[in-house]
This record gives sequence, C-alpha cells and structure tokens, in this order.
Amino acid sequence: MTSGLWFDFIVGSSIILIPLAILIITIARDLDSEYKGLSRRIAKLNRAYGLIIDDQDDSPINPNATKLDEQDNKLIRDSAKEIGAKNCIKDGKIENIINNDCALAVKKAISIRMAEQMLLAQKIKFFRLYSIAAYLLIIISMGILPVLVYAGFNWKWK
Amino acid sequence: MVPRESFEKIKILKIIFYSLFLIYISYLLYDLFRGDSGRYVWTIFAIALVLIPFASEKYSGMYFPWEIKIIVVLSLLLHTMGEFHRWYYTLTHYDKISHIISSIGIAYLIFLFLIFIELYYGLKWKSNQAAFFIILITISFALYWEWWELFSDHYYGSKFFWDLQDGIGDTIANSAGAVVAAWDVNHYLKRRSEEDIAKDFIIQDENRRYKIRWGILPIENDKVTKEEKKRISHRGAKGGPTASLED
Repeated sequence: MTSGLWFDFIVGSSIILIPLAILIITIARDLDSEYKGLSRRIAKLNRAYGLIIDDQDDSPINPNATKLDEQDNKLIRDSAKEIGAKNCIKDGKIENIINNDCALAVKKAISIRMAEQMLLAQKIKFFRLYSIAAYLLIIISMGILPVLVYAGFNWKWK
Repeated sequence: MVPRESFEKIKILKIIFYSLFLIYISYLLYDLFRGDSGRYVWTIFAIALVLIPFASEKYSGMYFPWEIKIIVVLSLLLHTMGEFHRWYYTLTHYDKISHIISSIGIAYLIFLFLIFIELYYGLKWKSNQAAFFIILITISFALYWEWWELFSDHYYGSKFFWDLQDGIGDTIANSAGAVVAAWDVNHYLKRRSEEDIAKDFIIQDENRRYKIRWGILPIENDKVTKEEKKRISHRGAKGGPTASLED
C-alpha cells in the first residue's frame, strides 16, 4: 500500500475483475460451441433431407449415412408425429424412408433447429453487449467507491 | 434446496423469511424514531437489497428459492444487529458467523446467476464446473472485500481492517461458506436433471406463458407446421405410407 492510490486500487480490483473475466470468457466460449454444434446439426439434417428427396427408387436409405444423434432423431420423431407422417423412423433412427411425409418431418426439424440457431445468434450478440457493459459498470463503480469515501459519504468516520 | 412443489416446507420458509423481515423493519422504525439518520439510511438500503430478489422474480420469470431469500435477509440482519448492539466488538466470534452466512448468501446468488445463464442460453454445464465458479467468484469477492478494508484504512483512515489475524480469519470463514454452498449446489445439480432444474426455476404467468424466451425450452415452429399440414392433407388422398411409426 505504498505505490500510490490508483496503482494500489487497480491491482486490488484485479482480485475480482480477473475471475469475472474468466467466467465471462467461459460462458462466451460455451455459447460459441453451442452455436457451432447447432450448425453441425443443421448440416447433418440437410444431408438427411437430401438423401430422402434423392431416393427415387424407394430403396431403403442407409441409416448410417445420416449420422443423426438421439436429440435430432427425437426431434424428427416428434415432428413426424405432429404432422402425421408414418413409416419414417424405425428403432429410433431414420430408416426405410420411401415417402415424402418423412421428408417433411425432417424439413420441419431443420426449420426448428434453424430458428434455435437464429435465436442463439441474437442472444450471443446481446451477451457480448451486456457483458462488456456490466464489466465496465463494475470497473466504474469500483472507481467511484474511493471517490465516495473520500467525499465523506460514510459519515460514520466523520 | 426445497423443491417448489413442496408447499408445506415452503410455507415454513415463508414464515421464517417474513419474521426476519419484520425484525428488520422494527430496527428501521427504532432508528427512525431516534432520528439516527446515519443508521436508518443504511437500513433502508439493506431492506431494498432484501427486496431485490422479489423484483428479479417478477421481471425475469425466474424463481428465487425462499432459502436464498432467507440467507440474504439473515446476512444483512446479522450485520445490522452486530452494529446496533455492538456485538461485532463485544462477542468474540460474531464477526466470523456473519462472514460465513454472508458468503453463503453470495455463493447462492452466484449459483442463481449461473442457473439463469444455463436456462436462458440452453447451456449444459457439469455440476462441478458450476461449483468451481461459485467457489472462485465467492472467494475472490471475499478477498476483494478484505483488500478493500485494508485499502480504505490506509488511504482514508477508516477502521475496517483490525489486524492480519482477523483478516485471515475472515477469509477462512468466507471460504468455508463458499465451500458449504458449492457442496450443496453440486449435490443439488447431480440429483436433478435439466428438465427438473427448468421446472424448479422457470415460472409461467397466469396465461401459462414465459416472461423471456428460455433456451432450455423447445421452439415451436407454428408457421411451418400449418403449411406442412395443409400439404400433407392434400397429398394424403393419393395414398400414404402403410407401415406404422415405431418409436
């Protein structure tokens, strides 16, 4: 506590500012990976959709070619149920797709994933704004604190 | 933590909260009656802090558990009582108890912030990751507090930081509170699934709508559904699939 008020203040403030920065960066990275994960899901669903609509001879589609995970399969199952598409999924995987109803279920799943991605992109944009604003606000309030004390705001000492 | 469905337990927690709140109000009224402006301004400020969870609950649509509301009011009340009755200066370990309760309160508020982030953005954090951040932020906040006392005493002549032994003791008490809260949070997150956590914290209004668009909840794409349904019904006349849907 001998290097000057503001130097001491900045060094001391880093005790809280650095962990907060670590938390914000971790959240931002997780959001980014969530966004990329959705992009991968959409790409796979598009591939599945392409396989269905290119299947002209009604032959069964190789389920391994779609490589959809359980969450996407569930989404397609739910969409298929909702729009009344049958013969779409067998044993929890897209299989023996020989009708356009199933393509509609997959298309609906794609549109839902795209809506999720769009919403997440919007949230990420606001997260950046809010986190920067909150961080600056914390720094400013930390800077105001010594000024308030100096001005005799805490009149208990006076 | 007590689940929201447990009305009987919630009832007891509500009684505890409002009792503590009434005690707080009585301190405020006493200060007002005496005209001790230095004290009642801070008491009003503290009461405003106690009411923040209610405002947040109303505007965010996220449930603040009553245990957390109790810890918030208790930690502030302990501080007020410690100053009012001079217990900080007369009772040996009163300060440490106050530090433990306050750090538990801060740790739970950080937990709520993390839960909000997870539910709002649809992130899937492991329980130990949440516990780690609760400990990290709470302890760093506690260290910052102790540093601030030292800083203020040095530059402004206040008398917050008694001695190094007291400072280390306070930091240990704060760390103990952070660890207790992190342990409880870790335990809670391990036994509850994502759906359970969403049910525990997300509130619907009277029209069963949500205040904000939670990332954890599925999106309904009504526009596509209506269009597609029309096309399905049109094509259905040509003869649909024969096999049944197997889940």
